[in-house]
Amino acid sequence: MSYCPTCKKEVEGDICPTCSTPTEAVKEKRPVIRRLSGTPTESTGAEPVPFSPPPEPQPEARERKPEPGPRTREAPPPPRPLEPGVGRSASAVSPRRFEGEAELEAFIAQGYEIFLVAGIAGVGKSELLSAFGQDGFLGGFQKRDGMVMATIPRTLQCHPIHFGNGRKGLFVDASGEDFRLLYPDAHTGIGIDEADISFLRLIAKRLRGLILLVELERLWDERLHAADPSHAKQVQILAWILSLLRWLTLDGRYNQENNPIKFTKHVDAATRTMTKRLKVPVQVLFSKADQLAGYPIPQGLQGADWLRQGSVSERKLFPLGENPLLFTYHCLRGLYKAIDVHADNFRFDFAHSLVTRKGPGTVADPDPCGVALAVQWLLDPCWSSSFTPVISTRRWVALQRSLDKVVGRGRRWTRLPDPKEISA
Amino acid sequence: MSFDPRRPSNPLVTLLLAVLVLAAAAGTWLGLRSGQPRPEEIGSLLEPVKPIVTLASAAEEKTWLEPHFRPEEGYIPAPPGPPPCPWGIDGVDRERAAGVARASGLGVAGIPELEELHKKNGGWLSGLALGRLLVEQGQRAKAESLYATLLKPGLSRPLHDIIGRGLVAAEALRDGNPREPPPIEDLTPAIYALQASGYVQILGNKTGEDFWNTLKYPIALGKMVVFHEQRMLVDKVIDGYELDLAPPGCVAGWPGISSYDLYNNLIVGYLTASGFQAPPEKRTKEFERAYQDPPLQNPLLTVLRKRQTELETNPEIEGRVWAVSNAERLLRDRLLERRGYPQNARLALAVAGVIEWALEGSVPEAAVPALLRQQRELLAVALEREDDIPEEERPGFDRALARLRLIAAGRNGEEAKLDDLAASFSPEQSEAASLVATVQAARREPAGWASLALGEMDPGLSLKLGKRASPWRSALRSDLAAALARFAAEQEPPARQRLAGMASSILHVGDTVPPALANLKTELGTVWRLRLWLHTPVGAGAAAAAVFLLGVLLARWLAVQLRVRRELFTSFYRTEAEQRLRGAR
Repeated sequence: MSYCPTCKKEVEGDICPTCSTPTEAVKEKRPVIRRLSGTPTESTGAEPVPFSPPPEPQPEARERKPEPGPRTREAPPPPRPLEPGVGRSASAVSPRRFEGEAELEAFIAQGYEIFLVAGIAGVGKSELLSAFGQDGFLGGFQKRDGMVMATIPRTLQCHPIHFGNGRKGLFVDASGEDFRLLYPDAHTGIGIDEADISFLRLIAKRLRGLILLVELERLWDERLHAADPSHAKQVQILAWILSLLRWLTLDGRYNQENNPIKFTKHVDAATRTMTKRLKVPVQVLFSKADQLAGYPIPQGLQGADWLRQGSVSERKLFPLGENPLLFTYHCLRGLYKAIDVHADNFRFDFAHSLVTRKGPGTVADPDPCGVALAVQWLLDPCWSSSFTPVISTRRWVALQRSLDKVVGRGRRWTRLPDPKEISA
Repeated sequence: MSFDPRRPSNPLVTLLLAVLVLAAAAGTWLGLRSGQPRPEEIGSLLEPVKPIVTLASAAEEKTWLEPHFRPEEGYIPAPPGPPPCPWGIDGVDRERAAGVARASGLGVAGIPELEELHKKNGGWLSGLALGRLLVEQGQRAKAESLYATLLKPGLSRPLHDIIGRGLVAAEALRDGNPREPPPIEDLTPAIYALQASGYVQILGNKTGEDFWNTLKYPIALGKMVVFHEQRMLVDKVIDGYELDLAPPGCVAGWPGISSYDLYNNLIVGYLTASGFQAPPEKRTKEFERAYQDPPLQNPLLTVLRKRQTELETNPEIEGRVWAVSNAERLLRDRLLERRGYPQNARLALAVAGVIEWALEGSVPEAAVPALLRQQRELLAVALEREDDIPEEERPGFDRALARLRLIAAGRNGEEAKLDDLAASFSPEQSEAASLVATVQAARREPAGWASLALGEMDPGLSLKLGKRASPWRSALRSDLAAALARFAAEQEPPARQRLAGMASSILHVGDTVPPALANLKTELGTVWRLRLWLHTPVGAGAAAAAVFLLGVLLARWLAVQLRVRRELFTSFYRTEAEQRLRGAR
């Protein structure tokens, strides 16, 4: 078995069948996550190198765990009949608490604002944060061949950032595996309970912004779905994360004891009846955009194909020339709707943290594009100001649609407009 | 990162919002301050209510006279009366009577002989004759000493005893216990001696109980004479009674002193006294009144009540307040008895001076018209009787009278006809009086007045006034606002509110708000007061500032919304790429 540095997993052969990157020899055995049945295993990567030394063990802190329900540690929950394929996440013998949760709690106690970066494994969350790394401050990113190494599962990486106006902010980077494992997919046979989202509950306390990363190539290329089903389910996973955060922010109550309603169903039902949405800004980034230029948009995603005369021509993606909102509106309708349901303020954009060569996967251009401004948008103080309430995105979109109708640009809302040329 | 990308911005939006905010603030200011009445409009409104009282302007013009005119010139004590008629006095030695008569006829040349005669027996006959000549010669201190000796207890014709008996009799008669007072022939020399002593003490700026008794006792003794002559109960003798008292020994009708001279000296004594402080019980007794007359009928009573309350914080005005008290009693009794004003030039001028002092302070609005009328009428009496003033006193009297007439004319919107009075002016006084007369003429007509207050000033006049122009125009605006307010108070509500707004909008920052306008605003209520205040420069400024602040907040909010909206439909990916291509750093 060899190791693919791009896909961050062990594969067979010298070339990765997924991304065609040359693989490396496996230097040492890595622990493997065992499932009960049917679920693919994955390597977790190299040894964990925490961002900063963990704080002094605080017995109370280690012992403390957010328990919104009446369940106590002394009284173990009554056993639930397990459905076929349903099991616990990660190692059955490892503690439920994430590495770095105590650190995160300490940051929250000091008044830090939390910004979460979510996405499946390998979309570039850590790379994005590294690209945003501010000069003069600790980076804390372990790199190999110019690229950031994967985040260890069940580890929360905390990256403080500098606002310059007295605000204290913290980017939290969890492993994509952890997000994937939160998704209650019957096919994968993974279920969650309240304890599994303890880190999200902690984050929700001071959540001030959210970055959702989607890798379009993995989403659309069916050849990659076999290697990891989560690629195809990025939208669902992110929608579910958003739903969880919305529930945790606006409700968060669940009585686990003798509750016939499963936790996930409870959350689903609760969020469906909610009228309020997340106020925090949600930045959806289509990562690795440098590799998307000329990527064919799958048929049926361009909107109203049946209206076109003649045969539907292949429309290729040109990130630099696209309007990200319209692109998402037409080509990723499910994602658009999911964000629209759960959040008041959101935007979409493309980004790449670095340009890699397609074949070898080496770094061609280390400079990011679309990262800095997207994160600046997220960090804008207007989102948290109570004196300047912001008009919601859905209202702006509705207004723009009405306006476009009046000025004769309504067509762009029925089908994806052509990309614009970039000018210097 | 090789370059620092910048978020797309639209400076035109910021500029437009800033312009809108500034325009809103400026518009607020202009909107509230526009609609200022035109001078012609105000002039035509006030034309029917001429002449119009203008207190502030007159007060300002008065300050131009102050360096050149002394108000004290108007406080003229009546000098000692003519000498006694020795042959008419019972029981006097013939030789002595002849000596006194002869020496008195020599004028100041007779002083040595009179001194010899007075040295021999020290009686009031020689004393009064000598004292008067000493005063005439300017030997005030010697005269004061002489009179003091005359009024001390003594054996020969003791004036002191006569005074004592007279006062006791007056007290007893007031209490209903009839007691015969001393005869007129005894009272008369006592009154003359007291009056003469009071005169020299006024000139010497004396104070103290004895001084005030010297001024008050002759008035009380004069009432005894009225009692004798008219058999009138003493307490029925009014203050300000009329009594012409011939010198001792002279026949009735012989020129002498009058009761007006006594009252004049008392009031002048109070007006010129410095540091006068009466004991509280005497103060209470003096200011106590058994009546409460309305301001229009008895304005000096209103002034007395007002100034009484100021004594604690301004003790230095006590003398003046006592002058007001005495003037009030005198005028009230005379006017109630329909006796008219006292026909005495000095007294009329002194009481007019008392009113002038009252008008310098804050006077309740209701008392002002009556005060001005009384002053005007008293000055007319003083002018009519000016020939009673001896030649040597005429220049000072004329200057004082001219000054008060000029100031009063300015207040009443009339022309001050100074005529011969101005002949006694020095060149500086003439110049100051001429300037005051000029500006009074310029502002006499309402249209001219409004034009001066609100519009452009004639360059020649502006040059003449110099630094005085600005405070004077401020006073004009205050008076104009007061006149409009008084006019408005007589109108029905809609017109009243409009006129109140007009009056309010005339005033600039720093102009005094006249009481008439303040009272009108209080009547109109809080909402209207607020509306009126918004039209003032301060109010309009505050409103403009509030609009500006709100505008800034709104503009900031709008700018944020527009930015959010713009960035929603913008691709930062494209923006950064374009900036990189352009080489942004």
